[in-house]
Amino acid sequence: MDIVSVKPEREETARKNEGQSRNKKSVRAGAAVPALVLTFTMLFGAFSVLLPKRAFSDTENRMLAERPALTFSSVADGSFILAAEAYFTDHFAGRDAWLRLNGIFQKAMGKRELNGVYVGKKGHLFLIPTAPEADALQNIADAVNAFALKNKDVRCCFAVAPNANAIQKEYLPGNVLPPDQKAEIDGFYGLLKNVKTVDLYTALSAHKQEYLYYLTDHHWTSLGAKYAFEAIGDAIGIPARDLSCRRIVAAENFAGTLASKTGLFNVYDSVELFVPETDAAYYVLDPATGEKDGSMYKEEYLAQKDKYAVLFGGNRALTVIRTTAENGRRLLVFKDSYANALMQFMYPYFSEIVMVDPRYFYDDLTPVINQYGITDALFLYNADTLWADTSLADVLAQ
Amino acid sequence: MQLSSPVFIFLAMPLGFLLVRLLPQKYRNVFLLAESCFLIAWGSPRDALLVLLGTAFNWFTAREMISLRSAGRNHYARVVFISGIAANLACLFFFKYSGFAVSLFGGRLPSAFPAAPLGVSFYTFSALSYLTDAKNDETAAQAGFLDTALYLTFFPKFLSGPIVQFRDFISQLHSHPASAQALETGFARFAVGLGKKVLLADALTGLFAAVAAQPFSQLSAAEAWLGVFLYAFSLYFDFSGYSDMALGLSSLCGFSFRENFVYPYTAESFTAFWRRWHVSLGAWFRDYVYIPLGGSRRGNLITARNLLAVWLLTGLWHGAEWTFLLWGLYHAIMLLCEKFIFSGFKQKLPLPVNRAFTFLLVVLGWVPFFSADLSYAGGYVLSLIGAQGAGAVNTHALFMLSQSALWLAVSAVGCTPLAHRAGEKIRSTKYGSLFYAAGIAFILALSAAALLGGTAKSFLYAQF
Repeated sequence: MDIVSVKPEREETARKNEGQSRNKKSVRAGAAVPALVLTFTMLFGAFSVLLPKRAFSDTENRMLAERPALTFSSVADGSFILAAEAYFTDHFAGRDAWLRLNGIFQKAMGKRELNGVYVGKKGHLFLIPTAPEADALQNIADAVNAFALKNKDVRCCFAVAPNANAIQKEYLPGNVLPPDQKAEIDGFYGLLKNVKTVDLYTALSAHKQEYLYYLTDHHWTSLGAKYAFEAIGDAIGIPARDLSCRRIVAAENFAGTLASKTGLFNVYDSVELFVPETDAAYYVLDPATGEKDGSMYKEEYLAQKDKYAVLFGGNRALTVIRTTAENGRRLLVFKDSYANALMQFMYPYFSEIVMVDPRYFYDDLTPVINQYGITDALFLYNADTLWADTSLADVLAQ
Repeated sequence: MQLSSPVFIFLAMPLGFLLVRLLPQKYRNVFLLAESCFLIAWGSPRDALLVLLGTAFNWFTAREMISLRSAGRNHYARVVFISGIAANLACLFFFKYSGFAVSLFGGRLPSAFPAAPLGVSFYTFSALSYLTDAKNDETAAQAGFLDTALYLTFFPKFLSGPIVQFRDFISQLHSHPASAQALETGFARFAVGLGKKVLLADALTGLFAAVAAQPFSQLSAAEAWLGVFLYAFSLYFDFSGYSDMALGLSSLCGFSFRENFVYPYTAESFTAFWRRWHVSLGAWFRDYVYIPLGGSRRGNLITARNLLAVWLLTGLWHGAEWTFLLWGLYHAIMLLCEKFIFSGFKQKLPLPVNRAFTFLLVVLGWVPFFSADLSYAGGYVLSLIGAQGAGAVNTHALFMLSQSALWLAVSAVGCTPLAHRAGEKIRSTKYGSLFYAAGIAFILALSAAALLGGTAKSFLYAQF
């Protein structure tokens, strides 16, 4: 016997609960649905509460919520409850797998903008670009100009690296306009005085079909850094194009920050390192702790998720590279994380390189310049970070 | 606690369900009351306190009113009744409309002004229903304190409805066993409602937010139109999804309440629309405002006045903003036109035409609803006709359209009874119930993924 399907809606008063109107026919109440829903919710609820918790999420690249303290005041003002909910969700059983499922679902349904990232073609992910603001740029330019003026003995050079969303724009999702970073960068360069500038946009565009940027991370690859190095070398007078390097594939399953943000782990990047064939040796010094490291490559990061951190282990306020090169040139680098990849090529040409990350550096600059006898200064930023940056101007003012 | 919070879905709901089933019948109502109070306190301990005070106040008011009446002192009973109504409305006014009232005189509230308790509009309307039904209905008048408290705090409906009337609730309270059928329907409905909310509505809201973020100078007409449809669908799935969850949970507790949404976007007139959209609110206003004012029985002019009053109040109920009033006025005008001007004309048109036309006009009506203020609403309307200088179509519009296409298709189907009928057909075949259960599991799994992966979004109606 066929089951009577729901009658076409009539325009009278709203009907009663469906369950009551349907029970005339032989629809056997299945136990499958209640059993399934209960089992699913109870299993995941129980596992989420009982399983051991981790402190840090590799996939999401952030610390996970800590167990909230149950106190009268925290309950009364509602903060305990919010913290408890965050704790439960952060440590939900199989969280990483759920995030991936969500990423796949959203992409399958057509979303191309996920959590600040463009989902491009052929697995390419791009940070949604920030537009530069005239006031902010002028602020930075003024600070840099003042720095150059104050330190006349130091040769200053500014290099703004374009991002993947500008150079590899054919992989952007359809109907997304790429940022005009050439114009933005040139506009910024126009504000600088007594500072050499490097046209990295042209340098990288010439090789845009090559593997210049990671598909799943917002950084450039070591290859991208190499082409930038050649252009910078021309500007500051080092024979960059004569340098030959040994290329090592350090890892082939790198899924970076953009994969974390979107939950899309369908493609993986390979991390290549360039070791210059040179007689110069170096060690890396952390002035804060006095620790010395014989290599800028921190191999333990290759086993973790954020493999880009194989370069120097991430960003620190101050990092010093001392080399056996005896040309007396000492370089001060103001940087964001892009420069980490650049140092692989720079060290044979300087006796000392001092890297300053203004986001973490709170001291005065002048003592640093005097202490290390700085002869050259390089500002290396990627466009997206620079347009949103507020720390460089502050550090230069000291 | 929000019904879509993971803590509720994975901890409170299954535990609560099991306990209700395991407890002997006579303890179940008390347990449900305890669970409801706990869930309110979980959201905000302060709100729980306010609810307790409010419930006690309403209970004692009703008692007083009933005892005065049975003593024959009807006049005083009426006074107590009116005072009770006024006190509840005063609280609602204080929490929700003080800011609006003060702004009418050019002032602003101090920032330390207490925030409105979540669900205050729904609670107040429930309390008013309680007092009125206690006055008019014998059975209702005999309800005990615990029963009344359960009605006012009942967790499936506390935060965002449906607005169940007291007499409908109390008539089921003494015996409400959940049949096997009700369990299956209840869980399925809960899962489907969650999917509507978390899978459809949240995605549509995200897309709409991208459209709404465009400055008017870059908002082409195509994108503006896309925006209204995105919002129309997201509001429907958000709210009807929540209602599905609420009705599903109520089913599990053995209660059976009126449908709150009956495929409103398939309505062929505004009159029909309001019998399908947020039915419980419409019924409340009809039973407690429209009919007491005379309804449509005192001539055309009074009818018009009553309609206008009810729809302005409906608009105001949604929020203390001019935009909500405008939205209410828009619907009132449409209803009046239908009733007095176009009724003959409409009947001559084929049903699909009426449906399409109604849908279009209803969707347009949401523009003031989602606008922060009247000037934004006006600007948006200008964008709809391309009068803001951004033209008919631009690149961003194409980008948004390509992202939205599948979502819109699913939404369009979801607004009709098609999916439900298909589900029922599948379920009734030989192995169908297994497929059906698998489908429910699939929706539940995707919902869990979306809950964990998405940014937390409350129900659009949770602010009411």
